[in-house]
Amino acid sequence: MTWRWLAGTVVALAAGVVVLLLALDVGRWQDTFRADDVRFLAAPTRSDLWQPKETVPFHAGRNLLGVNDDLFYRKTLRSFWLARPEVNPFMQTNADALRSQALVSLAQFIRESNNASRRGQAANLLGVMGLGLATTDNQQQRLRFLQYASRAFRGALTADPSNEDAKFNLELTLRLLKRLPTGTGGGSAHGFGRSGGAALATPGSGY
Amino acid sequence: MATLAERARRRVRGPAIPLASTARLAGAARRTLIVRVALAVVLVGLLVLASTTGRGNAAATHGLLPGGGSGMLVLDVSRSIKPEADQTIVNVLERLIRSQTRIGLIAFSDIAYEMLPPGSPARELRPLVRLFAPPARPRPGLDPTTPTPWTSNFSGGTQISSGLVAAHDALVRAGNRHGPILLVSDLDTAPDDVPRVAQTLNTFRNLNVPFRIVALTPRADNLALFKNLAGKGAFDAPVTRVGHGVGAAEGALQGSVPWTLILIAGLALVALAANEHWCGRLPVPRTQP
Repeated sequence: MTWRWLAGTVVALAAGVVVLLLALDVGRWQDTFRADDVRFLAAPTRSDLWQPKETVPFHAGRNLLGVNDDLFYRKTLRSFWLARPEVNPFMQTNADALRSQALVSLAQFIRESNNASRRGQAANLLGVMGLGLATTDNQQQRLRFLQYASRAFRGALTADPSNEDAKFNLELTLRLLKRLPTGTGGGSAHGFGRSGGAALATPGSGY
Repeated sequence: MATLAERARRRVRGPAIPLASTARLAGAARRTLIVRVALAVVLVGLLVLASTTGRGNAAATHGLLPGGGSGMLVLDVSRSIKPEADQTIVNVLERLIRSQTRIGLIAFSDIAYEMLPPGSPARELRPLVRLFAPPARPRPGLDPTTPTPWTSNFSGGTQISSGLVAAHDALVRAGNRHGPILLVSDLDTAPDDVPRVAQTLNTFRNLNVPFRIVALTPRADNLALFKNLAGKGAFDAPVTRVGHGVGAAEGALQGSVPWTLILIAGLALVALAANEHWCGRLPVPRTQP
């Protein structure tokens, strides 16, 4: 009987300690989100954002809070900010690599997120990346990325029809496509050798 | 006279000590039965898991194409490929030939060319092996490498996206939209091609096109970039060793330790030991007559 009580006490104490540490981790996550959102506005290039010190392993606190999607969203937005599509690529070191990583991050977010509004935002940003990459003298590449952008904006509107930014950007992209000398027709947004409406395509798909 | 069923039961259980008060042991017997059934379920589960993992490992070892089936090999023949990488290319070709799969071949540098249509027998790759096989005796002169048909006018820059797009287009034309793609390259693509590669890989993911990369002596920065773009999983087995610093990386075709299988085998051993510990027959010493 004594041994059983002793074992029970030890187990209960251990469980109590774990729960306490878990509570501390949860608190840290909440503080980190609040503080690092502000830090991101001031210094977006910091690489240590949204990374609190966790005591309990396997990100138990994070999983308990269910903030994986919020974290993914913030990191995706940061990758877009780092890519800086509005800046001349020759003025920025490693611009192509950063933009490529942003393309991949945004497309991954669109594939995996369950939040339609955020998916729409990400698709809109993906389209903006496409527009940024279309600023080239190479006509073929220009056409390719404009088509990519138009598909992404349409995907954004499919995910969230109230996304006014995506509507504006889509209109702009279609105007730019119309100006291009192409056999596919302005704004048809078909990939090379493909058929089918771009509005039906998954955001971020196609060449 | 013992019935047939009784005799069969005896044969299975073996001789036992007749007890008058078996009712008192009913609880323990039930507990043992539950433990035994639970352990049996665990063991069967581990066996199935081990079999699946083993088969997966075997597929990864024998077939380089992700997901198996008919796919496309996208081979980088640009000037940037170092002679040290030739042996890896030969290994890849040999393994594909040995797997007796059906495959297409795209060779690319700054443009892509379809050398074999999708669905060609892998043995058709055989004539290519001699072009990459390192010479037994190095040729004297400035260029000791074996000249290839594309050395002089098909080995300009590197546009990996052109190879990937050509491979996928060939698969779509052949009616195999989700066919696997294997890229064999040093990953040293032109800087302005990187976004196109990212875009193409996004397309592959959206269309569920499995792809894998065999990196040929890649530079560390290129390897890191492609791991970000394609995911570490795309480099599963083939790339094993990477040096530090730019230009000091190495890729090779080597096997990897099957840790998952080892872990499953260890768990199966633990389950068997637990079975022996909790459910083994009681050793009853023989009494002397």
